[in-house]
Amino acid sequence: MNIVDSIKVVCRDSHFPMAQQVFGLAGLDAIFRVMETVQELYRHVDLERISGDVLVFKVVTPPTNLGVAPDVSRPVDFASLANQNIDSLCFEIEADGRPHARSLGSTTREEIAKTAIVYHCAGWLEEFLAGDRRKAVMRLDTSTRSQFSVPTFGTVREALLHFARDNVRESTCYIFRNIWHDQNRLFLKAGPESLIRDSLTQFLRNRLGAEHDVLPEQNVNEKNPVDIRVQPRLQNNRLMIIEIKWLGNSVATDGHVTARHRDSKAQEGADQLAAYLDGQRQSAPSHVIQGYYVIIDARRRNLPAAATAGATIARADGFHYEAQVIAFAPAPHTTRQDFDEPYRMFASPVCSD
Amino acid sequence: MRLHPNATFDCLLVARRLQAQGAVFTGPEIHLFAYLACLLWLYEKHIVTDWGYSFVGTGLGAPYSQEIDSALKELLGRGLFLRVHDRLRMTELAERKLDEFTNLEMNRERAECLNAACASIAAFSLGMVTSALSQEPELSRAKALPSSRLLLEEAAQSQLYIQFEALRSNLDQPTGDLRLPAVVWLSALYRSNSSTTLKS
Repeated sequence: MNIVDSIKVVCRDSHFPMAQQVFGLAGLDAIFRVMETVQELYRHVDLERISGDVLVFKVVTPPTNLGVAPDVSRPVDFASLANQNIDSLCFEIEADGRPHARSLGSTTREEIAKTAIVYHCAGWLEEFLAGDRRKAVMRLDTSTRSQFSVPTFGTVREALLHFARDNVRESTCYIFRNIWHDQNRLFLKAGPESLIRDSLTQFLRNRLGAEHDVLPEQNVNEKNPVDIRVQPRLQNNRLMIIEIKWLGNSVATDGHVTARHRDSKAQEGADQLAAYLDGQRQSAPSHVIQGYYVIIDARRRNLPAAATAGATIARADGFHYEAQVIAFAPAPHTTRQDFDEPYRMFASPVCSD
Repeated sequence: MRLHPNATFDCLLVARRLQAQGAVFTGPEIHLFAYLACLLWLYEKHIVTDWGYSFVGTGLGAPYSQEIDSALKELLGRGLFLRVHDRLRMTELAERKLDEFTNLEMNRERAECLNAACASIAAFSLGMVTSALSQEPELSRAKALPSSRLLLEEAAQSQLYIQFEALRSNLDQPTGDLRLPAVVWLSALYRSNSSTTLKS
């Protein structure tokens, strides 16, 4: 879809214009304040821990029943909710701009929306209500439960598992898919490392970017740079190092094979990451460091000696290595706590059968 | 060294907005939001030279301004910004300076653009803003070239104006508030990138 068409769709389907259409500039102010509050809430509370609904609203047009007692509640500190198991949450953003807990009783969110911008989340559904209108939140990142909790993915570990499933498996990421020499994803281009690194960097920034710095190709010793370094902004003594290697056959533009990476290459990466971690422990002893080893597995069985136009592969050969575990010796992930079990990510081919 | 007045004001204002969100900020984030603000300035039908300084697009699809970079260094050197590991933080002195500059009539319109650009982080993560903006016509073109190139030269603005016209015509009830076109445009840029991905 081109961008002009995309603009039409966003104007028609997203919640942003609705706020202004219903309540004018005050509606726009309110929806931005509500979004900021929801983001702040999800920074402190994991959505997975909320079993019920989340409602956050800001009144735009004061209701006429002025007999309501003035609010004397104290604003809520979201940090205090961090480790609680929560059923449902409801907050009103008061005139002071801060959230106050509310109990709605029998009042429905539709009734509140007559004079307010209302955010409502239940399971995977997120929506905004304004006046008598409602719009589901346009999900730009399909792998997260809330558009507003995108930056608060639990851990690098979890993010890597999503990267394997969402980006690598079917080469869906537009950067990652450029690693292939051919449409059937049999051969890699020569030197695909930087594309793989860029793809993972972008993925991690989208998910962890608000609270983590995701820095590609960082020098950790005098020999080689590590592929990606991830550092939480608010915990400066934590450091996560990601090393990436690939397995498979790479070819030059004329189709001749430039490299065949197999198990020994995987071992090389494990040894390299273990050495990085040792080096970091010596140079930054106060840091808590964790190593993550990502192996992009593009191995295929019975590949031709060179890549030819339109080459295909049978499913049995294309997926032969899918379930084959790499035996590491030494295996640093079994002997040290700072080395996660390697993340072998199989990148599937397009098969002829 | 003399501070570039526009770049300095932009650094201070963007820094305040980012700091309110996450306590600290980085230099590249200042370049990014100053560039988004400059695009909104064009959306408002101002001319690019009136922004006061220029940007180049790096091969990674990120905006960079020499004037912003120099202003950041000066602000650090004069103690208005502090370095916290590899990130930056504003001092109270910087806050006071910004309050002075914000009251100047000459900064009113650029402050509207900067505030609207920064408001987009209520709707998206910083990473998503970066990804979306790298799809705008100028940065997208810069990514395809091996070396840095000047952005927003007059001859290269036609694609941008087509998109801005689409924004204006599809956003009924225009209010002059730039937050709405900013978040709608970023959503559209991000979506167009995702739909390209899904086509593979």
